[in-house]
Amino acid sequence: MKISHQWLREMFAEGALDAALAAWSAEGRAAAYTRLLTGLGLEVEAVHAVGEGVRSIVVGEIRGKSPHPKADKLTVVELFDGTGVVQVVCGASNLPPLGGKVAFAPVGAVLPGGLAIAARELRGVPSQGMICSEAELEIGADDSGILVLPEDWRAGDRLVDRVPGIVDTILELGVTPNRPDALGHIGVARDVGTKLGIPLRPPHVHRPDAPNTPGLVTIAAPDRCGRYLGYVLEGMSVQPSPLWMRVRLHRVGLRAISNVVDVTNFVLMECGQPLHAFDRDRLAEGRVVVRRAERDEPMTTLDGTQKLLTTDDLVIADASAPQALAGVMGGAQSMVHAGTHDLLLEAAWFAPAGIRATARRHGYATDSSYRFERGVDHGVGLERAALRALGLLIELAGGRCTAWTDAAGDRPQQPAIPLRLPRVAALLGVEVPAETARAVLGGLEVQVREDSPETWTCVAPTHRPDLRREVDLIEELMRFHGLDKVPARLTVPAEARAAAHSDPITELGDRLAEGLRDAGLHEHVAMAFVAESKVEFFAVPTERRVRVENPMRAAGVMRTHMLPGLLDALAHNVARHTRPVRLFEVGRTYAWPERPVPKDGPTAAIDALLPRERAVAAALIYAGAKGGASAREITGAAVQALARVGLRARPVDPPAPVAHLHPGVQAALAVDGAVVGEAGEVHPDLVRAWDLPEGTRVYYAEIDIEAMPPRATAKARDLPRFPSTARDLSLEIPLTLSAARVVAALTAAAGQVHRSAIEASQRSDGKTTAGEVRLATDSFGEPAVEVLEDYRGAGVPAGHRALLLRLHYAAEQRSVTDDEAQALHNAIVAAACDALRASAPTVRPR
Amino acid sequence: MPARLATQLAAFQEALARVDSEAALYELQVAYLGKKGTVTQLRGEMGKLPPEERKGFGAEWNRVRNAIEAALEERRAYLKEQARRLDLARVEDLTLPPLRPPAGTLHPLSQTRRRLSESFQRLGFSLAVGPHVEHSKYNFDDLNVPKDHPARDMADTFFIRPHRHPGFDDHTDNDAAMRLRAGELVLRTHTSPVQVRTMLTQKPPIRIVALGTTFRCDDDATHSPMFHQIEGLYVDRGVTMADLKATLMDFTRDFYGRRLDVRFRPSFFPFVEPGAEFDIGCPFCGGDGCNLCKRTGYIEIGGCGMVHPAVFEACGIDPEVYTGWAFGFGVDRMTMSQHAVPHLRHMFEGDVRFLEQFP
Ligand SMILES: [Zn+2]
Repeated sequence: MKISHQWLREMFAEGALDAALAAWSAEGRAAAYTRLLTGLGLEVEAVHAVGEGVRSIVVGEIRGKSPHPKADKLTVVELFDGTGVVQVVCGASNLPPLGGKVAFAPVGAVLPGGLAIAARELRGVPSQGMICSEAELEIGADDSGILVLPEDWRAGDRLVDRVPGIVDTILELGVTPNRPDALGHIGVARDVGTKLGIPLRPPHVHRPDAPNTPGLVTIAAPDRCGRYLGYVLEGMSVQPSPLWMRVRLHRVGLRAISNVVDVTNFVLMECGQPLHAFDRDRLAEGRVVVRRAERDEPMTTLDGTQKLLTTDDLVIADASAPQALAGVMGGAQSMVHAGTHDLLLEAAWFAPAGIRATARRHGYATDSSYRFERGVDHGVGLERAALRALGLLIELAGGRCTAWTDAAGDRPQQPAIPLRLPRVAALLGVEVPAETARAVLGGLEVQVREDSPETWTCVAPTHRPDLRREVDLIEELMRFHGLDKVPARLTVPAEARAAAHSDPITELGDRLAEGLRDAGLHEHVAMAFVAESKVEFFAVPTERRVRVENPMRAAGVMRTHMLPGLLDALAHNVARHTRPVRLFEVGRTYAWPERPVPKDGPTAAIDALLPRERAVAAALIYAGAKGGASAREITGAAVQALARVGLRARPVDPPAPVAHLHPGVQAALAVDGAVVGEAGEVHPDLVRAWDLPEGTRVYYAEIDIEAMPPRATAKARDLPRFPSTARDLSLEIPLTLSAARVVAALTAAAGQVHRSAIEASQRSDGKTTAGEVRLATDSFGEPAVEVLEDYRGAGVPAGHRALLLRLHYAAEQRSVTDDEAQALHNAIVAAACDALRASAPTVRPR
Repeated sequence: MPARLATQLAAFQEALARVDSEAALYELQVAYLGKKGTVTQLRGEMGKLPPEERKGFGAEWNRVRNAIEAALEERRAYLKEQARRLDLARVEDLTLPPLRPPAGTLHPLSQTRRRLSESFQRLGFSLAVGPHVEHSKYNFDDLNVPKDHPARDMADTFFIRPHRHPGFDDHTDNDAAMRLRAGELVLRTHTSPVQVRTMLTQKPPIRIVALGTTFRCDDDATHSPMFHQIEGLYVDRGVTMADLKATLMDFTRDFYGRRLDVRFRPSFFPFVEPGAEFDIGCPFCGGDGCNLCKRTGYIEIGGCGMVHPAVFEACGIDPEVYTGWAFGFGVDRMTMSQHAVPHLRHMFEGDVRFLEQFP
């Protein structure tokens, strides 16, 4: 919202604002405004000093015109500047006839755009200055020709004297949606006046001397139109507005069109009240009906587009057809044009939600709908805006008001708001003195009845629809008393506070992230939504994908896995450099549950409607252009991250194949037999889909944070007092038999052999022999079976490999002899091979 | 015999001169003084001498042995010193690129989030979480942002298509799902729905922060459709705007590690009343004005204010008994200014050359 200082000045007694502002602060106008308005919650986003360059512009009178001898488009003008005649070469095609007045920049002038005017020659003819367009003077948008001034202006007069307020300070305000009143100069002036203690002097208005004619306006939808003021003006003459009006509109960012339209825009910017002027001759029966549209009723708005309306759209119709989309945009048929003589001027209040719905439905966002959506004044301000427009229209376009009416619908009630002064202190932590409160509320035009010294009853003015409750008034007191007067004081001292706690899932995610970082991976943050084409590789049925109705960048599905985001990042990296890419992300994936999940607690009813969000940690490793990464790095990273949260994870055969991983290069990550994640090589189809170089090997792991068992505090185990003895084993196994299963078979066999040994050695007294030799355990209590090597070279039959394993044997209270170890080893290997051969008959020791 | 002793000594001395390692020296020692060493053996032959010569020979033998031992010792010391000198003459260039294990990093956003979370936990705020896909009741309605209110324009919303579970038509939850109309499920536009969820499930005093991902249909050089917020909520008897000010000042000191100028400006957020914007004196230029603060001397941190009574009412908390305040800051901008990140897009591309800059 652009606010003009000159315009604000007019809202107070002559000179009052400048004096009060200077008294309030000596830091200069721009800085004072910034601090003052920002302190009131009207954020000043920018301040522009405008028009300084116009100071040297004078009125010039054309005394002579002759064609340039060498250039068709140039004219040599003899110009009287009030003291003498100078010769100026001008390229404009709209030079007025002799005696006409133009804006003249003499030699030495500097235009607002920074152009310094010097004496020069144009194609051989000397030129002493420049005749300016309004665009060059930055007082209008028209750059098609020079600015032609009224003929009755005197040559030599300064433009700044002829157009008061042309030198101005423009404030760009960020107005929050609760403050529709600040979308006009009066509203801003009211805040400024209240803060500075100077009384508002609203602009003068014209009260018509014409009969109230109720037949002019019919409100058929009173729930949607609270009030409609209509005025008939006859004998208008549609012309360009005078320069002061055009400059004023240009300063606040509007384009001058014609006196009638300019007046409605002027009042829009002054009072924040959208008005509409109909060409009354084009209205059937010369009257309007405020009604809901018929279903699919057609209408052409003044921007030339045809709309089919709905029964929820409010229209201003004449006796037969819609003539305006109420509060949003006028209609083409009855718009004001050059030949308009009679007007029907509308000033109305429409229900905000309805305007917003219509504007959205038809894709409009106009100055008018913007204000109606937020709520304009339906009281004295509405009438004042209409009468202000009436006065200006008569002044600028002639004519007279011959009829008017004030039709009533359902107007919002202004509630009586109790204001308890002690409550002010209870909420703000600072007392606002009663006299300050009185002055602030008075300045804002809030009606106050002091029922008791501590309890007041207030009624907000109709231009402040945001003041509904006591807190709203307290905020007003805070704004004007000054937020900087609120002290910094804790309610409860720090030492009396309850201890804070973290969130367990966040905590686990953070620790996993640290583990993955320590494994040499960089954390990535990817968008949570992806393109549909990128989730098709994943085993999530179409109907379980969570879809965005209005996606951006064509990313219409909430990610079901972390892999697409990591692959996007990989593709980004591969396209830019050849280095290794090691990334991880901790985030959420989204899917609708297969069946409704019962919830409990106060939010259960809502939660049952929401998709399932899974907290997931994912890692991706790509070795770079040189290659050389092993798939085991990804299981290593995952296992290391899980170790960080106290979990001993091991890769095992996947319970079911994972679709987005290579069928032969994948494993599940298990903790105590429960699967918490997956790891493997990214399926070659995905590598292709992401346009990565053919044959690129990418490794990926995903950990389901919510599936992780609770972290247990590490408990120390005593160290073995006697050394263990190792025996190596080379097993020839099929390629498809996993090391995890071999280790599991050996461990199971060890348990079995150990149990039968105990049975065999049971003595008559029922005690077992102490110090029995058994498979040793590692520091974590796990069976000590190491996998040393995966050999696939010569000497191994096709489809097979040799696994080199090392088993450790120990006894509890003594050393183990070689013979004992060997005997046990042989028994275990034999039992394990037997077990493995049930599913893989070719297993054999080498 | 004594002559043989002399010959042995001469031979030893000759051999000793050729010894250039401790191993060879040891061999030489064994050859002369070992159990079967030549000098040792001569001592054994002493019995063959006439008694009157034995004494003299014994003395001579001792002298030779002592001489050999001393010579060996001297040579050993010499060789040790030689070896030490050689060792010290080694040169290795440790200014060559260090061999590091691959170094990973946490994303700058994570680092900021963790620091924020730690700061607020020190100030007694517990962590709260909520879903990203949220119902508009919690994202808007209960936060005093009614449907068809312009305040909804403050956040351009991503809508989620409601889901109907196939084959569960008679299930009450499914009935509810069927009643869902388009526009009721959204990607949360702010972390504020966590406020609502917390107030619905906990009794005051409530002192929480929620940190997380948020979404708005906004995509340009300074806006990402996905971004991050931190939300704070404190509800108890007697909580005031003065407490909000004091707490945010404490936070600023804890987070930035020093006292910074703070500024509160009245503003509007539908779920607080009175509402304010919270700025801090620019920590990068000390308020003199720099690029990071756009020459204003202040950095905008976010919005805050007293919890609106309508929000309390929606959550079943009596606003006459309890008061509270809330704040919401943007984490991304805070992170970018902290680390001088030049472009927002860097944050979400996953370029390792960017990420590795934040060890
Ligand atoms: Zn700065």
